[in-house]
Amino acid sequence: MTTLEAGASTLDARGHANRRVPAAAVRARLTPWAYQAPVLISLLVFVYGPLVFTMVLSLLDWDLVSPDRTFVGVDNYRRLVEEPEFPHALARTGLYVLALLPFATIVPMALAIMLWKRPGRASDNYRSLLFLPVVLAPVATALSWRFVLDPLGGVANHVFGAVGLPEQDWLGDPDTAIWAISLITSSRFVALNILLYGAALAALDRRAFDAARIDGATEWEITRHLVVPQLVNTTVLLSFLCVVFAGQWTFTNVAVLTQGGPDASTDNIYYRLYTYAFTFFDAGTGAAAAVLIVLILTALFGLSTLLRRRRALG
Amino acid sequence: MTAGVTTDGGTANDLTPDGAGVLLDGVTKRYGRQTVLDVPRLQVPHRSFTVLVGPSGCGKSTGLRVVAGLETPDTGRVVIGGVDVTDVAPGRRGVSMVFQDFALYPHLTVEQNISFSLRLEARHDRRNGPSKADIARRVTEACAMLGLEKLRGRRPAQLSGGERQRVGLARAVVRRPSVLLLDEPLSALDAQLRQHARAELVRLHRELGNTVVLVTHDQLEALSMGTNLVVMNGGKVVQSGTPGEVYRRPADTFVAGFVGSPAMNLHDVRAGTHPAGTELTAPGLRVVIPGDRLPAEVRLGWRPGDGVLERLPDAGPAAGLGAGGESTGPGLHADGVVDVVEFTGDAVVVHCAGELGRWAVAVRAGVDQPAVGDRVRTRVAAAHLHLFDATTGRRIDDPTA
Repeated sequence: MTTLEAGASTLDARGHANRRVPAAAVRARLTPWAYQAPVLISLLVFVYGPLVFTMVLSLLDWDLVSPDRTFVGVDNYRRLVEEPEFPHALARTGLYVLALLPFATIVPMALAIMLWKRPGRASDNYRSLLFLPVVLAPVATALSWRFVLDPLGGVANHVFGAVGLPEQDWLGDPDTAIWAISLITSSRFVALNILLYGAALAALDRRAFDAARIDGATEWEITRHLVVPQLVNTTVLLSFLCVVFAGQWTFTNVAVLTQGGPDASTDNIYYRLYTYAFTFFDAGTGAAAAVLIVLILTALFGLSTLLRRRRALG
Repeated sequence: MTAGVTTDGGTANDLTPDGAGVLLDGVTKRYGRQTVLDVPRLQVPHRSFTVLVGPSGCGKSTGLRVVAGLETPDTGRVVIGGVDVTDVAPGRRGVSMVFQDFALYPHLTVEQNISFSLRLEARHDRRNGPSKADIARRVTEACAMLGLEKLRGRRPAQLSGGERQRVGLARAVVRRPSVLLLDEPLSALDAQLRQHARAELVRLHRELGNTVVLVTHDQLEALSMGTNLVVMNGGKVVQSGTPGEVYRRPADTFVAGFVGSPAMNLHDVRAGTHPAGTELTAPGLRVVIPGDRLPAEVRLGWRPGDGVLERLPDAGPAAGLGAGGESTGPGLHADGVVDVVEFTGDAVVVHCAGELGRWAVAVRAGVDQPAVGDRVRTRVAAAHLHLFDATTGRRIDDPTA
């Protein structure tokens, strides 16, 4: 940037054609761009291009394949906001977030602290087992849950029957389906966030805990007053990631197990988007939903940043 | 401010009770196959400023952690103030500790760091624990004692190294421990601050009037601060005594080489009979000392500061004298050439090389200091020579007995 400006100003000031910039300087000016080109081009093709394309798409009435497309302005957006489906899906997504938040924060934090307190081979083995849900193929996992939750002869109902509890139509009942989907999805959050909490714990100064022991703290007090407060930043970050990923990570399970039903009780905004675009082939509304999701998340992120800044000041 | 801390402890003017202080009795600690600590008996006197000193890996820090209760000994007892605390939790031993890197609680303010232990105590024992007012008063006292009044609201990350060290100290003294443990508390400070902090620690000990155990690898720190010095090597106590005793009468060649800077000069010599006692000889050296109870192989030591240098003329009689090691009186004479001259301010350390090997002599700076390449004769009076058994390394105190 500076070299460009400096070069330009030299030329302007002198105004002489014979005061040519040396070839080496030209090369020096171009080299950084050459190095950045692969990233810039792929960003353009795979991120910013589609982003702009989606924005344009959201203003059209188009089924993605037929040659006739009509510019409809903000009609797609208006329909999304006015008709009940999208607001309903948004509310259900909020419910997913609430159901998943403990599994993104408290549960993995507790497990990570336990694994960290007793390092050794057993701890390493547990860590690997707990990480497994992240590695497993999402669709395959969802399919195997279908067998577990099958109302007739599923393992879950066998267990419930054995201990004398009423059997449930887990995925068929609007009252249980969303919780079943949340619980299935929670293992992924728990698994990944144990890892992230583990990294945060590894960065803590163990000597400070020795100091606390000498200060008379019990193991629980060390956890409560020294360890947990130092995990607050990690928890804030993971809560935010939970808000972002709750919809995306439940998507697979919703698509495979319930298709948003029964009674749209397990719907979420990503599944809604997918339905608009690839079930009804209404690409414009799907794109509008995508843009709305980005706007909502951006607003949430802005709000949380604002709150954190205010708290840091206060 | 100091009066408050000491008199409230209730023991400030008591007579030293028997068995008070710290006692390690038959303590051993192994990590895998390696024995890192093997102390048959070590008494840290009540109200002493005891310094555990030794090279890294000598077991001094492990010893301190055993006293604190952060490590459990494999065998033996830890006794503090006459009470066996081997199975007592670290927080209930009446000890506090300052760590090398201070180990402050990073998310708490200076004030919260200092009051942490008191707030826990209040929570554990609502009836006899300190009240809110007690805590506030004691934190204020500790802050005043260490000059932290203006930093109470800061967090550790906002403090300099010296300030963190003072917070670590305040956190330790606010508990009014009967024993204050300091694990290399000065090594994280820069050189200038360290000098100042050394004096501060000695002052603090005087004001608190309790037992202080300090661990360091710096022998200068050990000599200058302690009232009681414990030299460790390979997990064992090699010598304990006052700094003066240890310096003047090192128990073996390890202590002789470790304590004192520049290090003691050591030479392997052979002991032979002589009408006046024993004659110690080495190439370029002959010394006659009274007494004949010496092994055949002896290590002869002397402090660089005990040597006297005189410049020899470039040629002539000096060469003859040096080569033959002719003794011209009692004590040691060795001739050599000045190899390196190290200026240290008040003194100059002259490193010499000769037939005897290499040795260092510390002389006053200024007046007539030798230059590199000068031929010099070193004299050491017989009274300043230290003798060690060459095979065991132990000191030979009195060759006449």
